[in-house]
Amino acid sequence: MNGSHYALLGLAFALIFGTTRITHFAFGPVYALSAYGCWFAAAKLAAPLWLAVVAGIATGAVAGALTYLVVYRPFERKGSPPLVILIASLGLFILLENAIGVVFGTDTKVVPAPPSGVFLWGPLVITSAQIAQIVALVVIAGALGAYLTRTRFGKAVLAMTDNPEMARVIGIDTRRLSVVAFALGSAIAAVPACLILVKDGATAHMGFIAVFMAFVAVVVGGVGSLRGAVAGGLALGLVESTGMAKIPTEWQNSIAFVLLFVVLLVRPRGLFGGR
Amino acid sequence: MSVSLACTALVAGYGKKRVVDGVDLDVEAGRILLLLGHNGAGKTTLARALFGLLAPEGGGVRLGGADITGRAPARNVADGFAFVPQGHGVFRTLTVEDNLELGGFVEHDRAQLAARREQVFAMFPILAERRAQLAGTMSGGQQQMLAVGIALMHAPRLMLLDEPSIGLAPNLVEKVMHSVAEINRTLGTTILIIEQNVKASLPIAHRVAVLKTGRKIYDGAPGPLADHVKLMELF
Amino acid sequence: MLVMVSLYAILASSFNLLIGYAGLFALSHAAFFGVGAYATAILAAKLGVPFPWPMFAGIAITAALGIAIALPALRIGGDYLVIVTLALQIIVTAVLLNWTDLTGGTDGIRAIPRIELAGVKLDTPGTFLPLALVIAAVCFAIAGRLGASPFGRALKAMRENEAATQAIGKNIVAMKLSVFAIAAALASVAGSLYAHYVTFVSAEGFTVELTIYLLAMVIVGGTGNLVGSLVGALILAVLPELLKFIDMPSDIADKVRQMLYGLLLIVMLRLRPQGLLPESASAHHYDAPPERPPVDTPVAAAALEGRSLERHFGGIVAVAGLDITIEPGRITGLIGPNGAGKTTAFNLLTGFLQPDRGEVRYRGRSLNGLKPHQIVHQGVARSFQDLKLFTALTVLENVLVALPRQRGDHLAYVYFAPWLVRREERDNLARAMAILEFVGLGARAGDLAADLSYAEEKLLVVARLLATGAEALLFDEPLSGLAPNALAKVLPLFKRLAQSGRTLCIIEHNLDVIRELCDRVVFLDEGRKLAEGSAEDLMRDPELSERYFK
Repeated sequence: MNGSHYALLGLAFALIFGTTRITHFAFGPVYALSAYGCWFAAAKLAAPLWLAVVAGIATGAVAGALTYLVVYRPFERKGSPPLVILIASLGLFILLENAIGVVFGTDTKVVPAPPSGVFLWGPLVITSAQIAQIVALVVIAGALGAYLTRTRFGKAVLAMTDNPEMARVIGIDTRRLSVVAFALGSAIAAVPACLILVKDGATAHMGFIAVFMAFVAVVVGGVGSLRGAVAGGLALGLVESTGMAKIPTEWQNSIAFVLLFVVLLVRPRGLFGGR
Repeated sequence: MSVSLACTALVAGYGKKRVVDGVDLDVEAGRILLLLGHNGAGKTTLARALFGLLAPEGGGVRLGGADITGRAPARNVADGFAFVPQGHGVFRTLTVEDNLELGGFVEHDRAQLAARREQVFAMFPILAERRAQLAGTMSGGQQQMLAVGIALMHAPRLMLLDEPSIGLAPNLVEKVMHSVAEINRTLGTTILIIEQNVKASLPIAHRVAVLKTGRKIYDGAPGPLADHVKLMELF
Repeated sequence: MLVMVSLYAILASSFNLLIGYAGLFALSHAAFFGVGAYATAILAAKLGVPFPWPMFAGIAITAALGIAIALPALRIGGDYLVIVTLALQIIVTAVLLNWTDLTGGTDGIRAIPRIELAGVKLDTPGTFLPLALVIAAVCFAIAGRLGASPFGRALKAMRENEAATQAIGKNIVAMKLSVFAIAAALASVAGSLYAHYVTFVSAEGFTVELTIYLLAMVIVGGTGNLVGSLVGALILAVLPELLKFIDMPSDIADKVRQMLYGLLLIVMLRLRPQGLLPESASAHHYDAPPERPPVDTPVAAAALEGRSLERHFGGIVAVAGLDITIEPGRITGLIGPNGAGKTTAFNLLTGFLQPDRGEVRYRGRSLNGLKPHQIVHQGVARSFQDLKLFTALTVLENVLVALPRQRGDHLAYVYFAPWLVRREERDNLARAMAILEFVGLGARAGDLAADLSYAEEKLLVVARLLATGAEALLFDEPLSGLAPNALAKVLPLFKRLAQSGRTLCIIEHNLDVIRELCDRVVFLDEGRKLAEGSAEDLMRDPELSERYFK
């Protein structure tokens, strides 16, 4: 279901935001770039699909890390306030999204879909694409959870998310960790990007919806909580699907934003947020 | 294991504001120096400038004779300089155990880390009891003990504590002071402790310095300051 | 193309009012533009309403939308506001796209009738241009008048620090609603012209990308400078024309154009975030008339009383059963250890916090339930421990904005009786300079508050508080951190204020100051008044001194 898609996006965005406190709107184009990287490997380099996905993930990780190093880091060094960095990320969003359009063209890129099946489970009809999404969510969230809670580096990331100043006090190199957070977050977001490429095809504009949905997931679930972001994404998917039945198709995207609007008004901290 | 800390003519502040205005301090290796001063006297700014969280605008800082002025905190930590910031800084969403493990972030020897963790638990049994508890759910006093424990995890030669007694009930304050004295006594760690609570901190100090509006106005034995009325005059 | 530039000028300058002057980063400007355009399109094309009525209808609808968006802005600030308004922008675009019956969906509305003036149909760029220029000039004048007025100055103050703006008696809720309504209305005028010019509207022209384009204009030109917005509009509209020299297919050219905007935005923010043109000051000291009204005129102030005040946060009791009376004509000192509740007491006395129990009284009136700005009007004002100066404003502006009962704060006067506002400004300039000279900052009047030394900043805090005209002045650590020679200059000022009959209270940690200034001292600990008496008595009390250093 879309819920797992949003959950992964939310998780990726929350990882980046929680660690670096940067509202990374360029998350959208980087997400799109991962899909294009996957497409390029599959369509132009004739790589098998699994390898193309790996290429997509790698593209995302590198692109994400670069956005931090090239664009955001100079602002951090200068001590710019978060709002300035946010606006810069809006500029980067426009820059990258259009760059993708220029380089790759405006047509929708598709890859030959792998054989898919349709399963019936009680009253629900599930496609193999949806199963892939859910599996991806479970595997990635699980792997990330294990990494964060069991490895030294992972715990350092959690520490930075929890208390950036204390992280510096105990000797963590926060700059290096920020690069890792961007790379990791972008890599995670690359997975749903590739899945969408297979399912619907990739366009330069796909990042727009992605970053806003990620944002809604994070805000609904609670800014600063990774678990919350996953829950927020799932909740968003749920709201959308229940909405789908009653609201005409054109309005469905707006549901997310109405939800965002309502949550921010009523409970700015989200469901799990502590900040 | 201890090391000395000294600063000369240290100047530090925020923007144009000169909060620390030419301060000389000398903490002898293995001793406890207590730094007193009222709100706004520049104590926390001084601490941050010493540790590297804030770049000094003038003067120098020396750790064991080596110049560390403005050096990044990560390198100071690796060099045995621990900082316990104000407000019992802990990682609220992580367990006590994880907090301690993070304290030893710069230490790669796992056996050493395990041994030190046991030391911390021995000193603060309550942390052992609550090792799996989330730090954010503990009381202020327990968090402060955890904060000290975090600093101990990388076996520091020097510990800088910024107002560890703030917001704590009197009996807990005593416990914290007692622990600090014990750390100094058993591990030999040099201590620079910043405080406003004169009553509790004076007894453990070997030497006292007083800061007022960014300058040092007293540096000597703790004895004369035990008279509080006299102290009020000083402030 | 010049027509479009005039439209962009309207949009950029109105956007600047919101984000540059008021600091309200509401990224929904393209939505206002679009609603104005669609309102005109619907009324003119579908209902045949002649110019200029659709424009006025558009203004009304969009202003209402602006106020609707302002309401969440009252509660959330900064980054959240950006997101909420972006979300609203997207919702509005979606509505325009999907409410097919009304808006024609993706096809939009076509064949919008041209404007006919005096029998001339404005159907070419050449004929439309004069109208566009005239209307743009009017809009720019409206925006400019607001920006240069005392209201504009108060907006900038609010942008710098909301709490301090409340503390000088401004109603920031009213200010926010007004600026949203006006910015939205102006954008809608541009939208209306656009509809008549292009004769066709579709949702694609009013998206987030347009808002970011406008944002780039404002930032490049300079936030807080309306002429800068003109410059920004010109630059960003001319830029794509330069691309025409490079040969590329039109859709690629469009994307490259957008890439350039994005790049320009990033580079500008990194290298010169304040923009090309600096923020314009609203007043200059050299315009001040020579006369100087006296500053410490005798006033008949009253006692400020707090009776049985109680306030807790969650489970923590900050203030408990506090009875405090601050008498006029003398300086009462408020001392106590850290966390004793001193600043909380100030917050309770001045409306920044409401007491859970108990009452605050001044001049026989209860102040309970009043907002801070209302309490300032009643005659009670406070300063802040962390200064909260309006750093991007000049020293003079910091004091000017605090002067009480300014007609210039009310837009009705600004637009309909500007001569009254001008006369008042002149008088206020004299008053402000007098206050600055009283505290010794006269020579720094034209400098930015950000450039002051620490001691000068403390003096400005005193000046700004004095400017409010309140008779009861509560100073929170006004002298902390001052070196002895600076202190020697400031202490006499406080004594003069006390002698003038004002009701003064200061929180201080520097006991020398307390001893020197206060003949009455209140000792607070754990939210309670433990002792009250002369400075000597309190400081000799061993029990109290033990508590102080506990």
